[in-house]
Amino acid sequence: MKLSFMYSFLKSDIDVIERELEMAIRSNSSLLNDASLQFIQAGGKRIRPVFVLLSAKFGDYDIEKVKHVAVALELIHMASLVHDDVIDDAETRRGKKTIKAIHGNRIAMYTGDYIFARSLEYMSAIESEEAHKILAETIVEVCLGEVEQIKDKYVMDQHVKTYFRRIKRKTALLIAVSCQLGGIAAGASKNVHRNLWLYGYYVGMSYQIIDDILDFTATEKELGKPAGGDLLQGNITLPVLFAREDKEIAELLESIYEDMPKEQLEVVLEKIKNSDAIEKSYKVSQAYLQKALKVVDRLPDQKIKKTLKDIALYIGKRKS
Amino acid sequence: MKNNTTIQQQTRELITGLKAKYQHPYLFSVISQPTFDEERVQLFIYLLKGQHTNYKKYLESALLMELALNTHEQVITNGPSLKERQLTVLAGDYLSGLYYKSVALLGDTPFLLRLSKAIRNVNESKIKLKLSEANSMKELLTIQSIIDDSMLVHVLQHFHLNDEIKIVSEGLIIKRLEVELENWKKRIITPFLLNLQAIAKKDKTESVLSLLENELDDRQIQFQTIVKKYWSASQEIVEYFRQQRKEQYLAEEG
Repeated sequence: MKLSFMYSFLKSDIDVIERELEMAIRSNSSLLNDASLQFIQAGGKRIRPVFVLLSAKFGDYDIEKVKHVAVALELIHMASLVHDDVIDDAETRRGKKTIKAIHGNRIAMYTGDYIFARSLEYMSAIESEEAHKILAETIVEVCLGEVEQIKDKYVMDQHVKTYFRRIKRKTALLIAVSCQLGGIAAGASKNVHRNLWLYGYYVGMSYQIIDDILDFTATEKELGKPAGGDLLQGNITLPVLFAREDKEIAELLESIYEDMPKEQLEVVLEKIKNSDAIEKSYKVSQAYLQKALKVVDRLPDQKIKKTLKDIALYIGKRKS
Repeated sequence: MKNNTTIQQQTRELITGLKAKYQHPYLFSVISQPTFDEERVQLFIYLLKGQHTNYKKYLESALLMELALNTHEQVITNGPSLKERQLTVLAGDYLSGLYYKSVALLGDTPFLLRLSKAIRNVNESKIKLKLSEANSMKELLTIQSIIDDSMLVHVLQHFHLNDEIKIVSEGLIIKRLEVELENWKKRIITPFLLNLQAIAKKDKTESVLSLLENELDDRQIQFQTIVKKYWSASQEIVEYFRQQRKEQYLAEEG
């Protein structure tokens, strides 16, 4: 089953978000217009807006109110992707040339800053001071997560807690906040929106661990990029940390460097795949999912709870 | 007239406080610290002092965003190293996040909306400048003014200092023209001058130097007219700039 089937009942509202996103990036600079529009039309899972809408169902759901948060969060995500392409020197994203590749770093920086400004314009429609404080704090944390990621590159003997803190900042926080702000925008009680944050946090942690596993187990076609790319770039993920427990693999990992030949990398990848690191990582991911499911049980009785559970279970099984 | 020493002291305090806010032990050990245009900070303080009990917080927010945008200006294709480029992108994003946090703590969503529009305008104009889209000196100055004064103007608008905006905007245009004239004489080619070169090429009757000098003359006359028109709002600002210039002159004279 496709993920989008699980929330197909939101289709008309997701269409509202899509239209709003296209309007949001309209600019009187034709270059900015074209570049941002191409970026939006390239698609994406829109997972953050979906979580905003689903969570808003626990309050007084009004798409005209919650759309501002949904659009703002997707724009923040998009702005970070445009800047990430500069950071990673990426030529393509989702099979299309990046803004950085077409127009250069400078224009990509301006485009990212422009989209960020638009996201805050959307957020300014939200009166809740708490919502702004939460989102602002999250944005700062997400940036610090990326800084940490660069700092910890190729550091093989890092503690697993460092990895968890990093993926919390890199992925889980923005999903958690999408859930929480959806609740806040719809006027859900504090207890409810705190639980929604926890649900998003656990789902986000699980999602990123699966992502890190797939970097070893999925094919290049499934990933849309060569397998083992994270390791090659020096991003030390959970499977690597588990695999390091094997002395032979630990020694091999010490020899990893950015431009190492593909054949040499494949030897390391095979060793990691054949170790118990993948299975152990899956177990951790599953543990997070179980926590997410338990949190859903604590939420008020609503039909939407089943969708939240289905999404969590889907994430645990995803292959790409 | 307000005491300049006090303003300078307040400027130093504000900058020290801001630096403490964005310090990061790793980030700024790899890349250089963001730099402040102290004269600009002084001008901000000069204009906003007394407008709101929390004026320093408003100022901090605007300055953090200016620092963020300026930091992103340092992201160039052939930078010193990949890591430095990566961290420069992130430093700008981090400062943007701190800006939003600062505004969130103010709890003033109209201010957030206003500054977001300013950031949007600044980036649209930067793209126009980068693509050399200006067809005339007038267009070029409009684009450059948005980049130079949009944040400041939007903050002043928030406090309804509309007369001050006219004077400050015109003053900053003159400052820009003076800077670019110096750059041209030193053969430092900036995006502004690249645009102007293209305009001069199309025009054929005027050189870059004469375009700059003529515009500077016109603007100085225009500035005097504005100062007369908005006299009540302008005397302290004009006096302030005069004082600045005098100090600068004395320093240069040694």
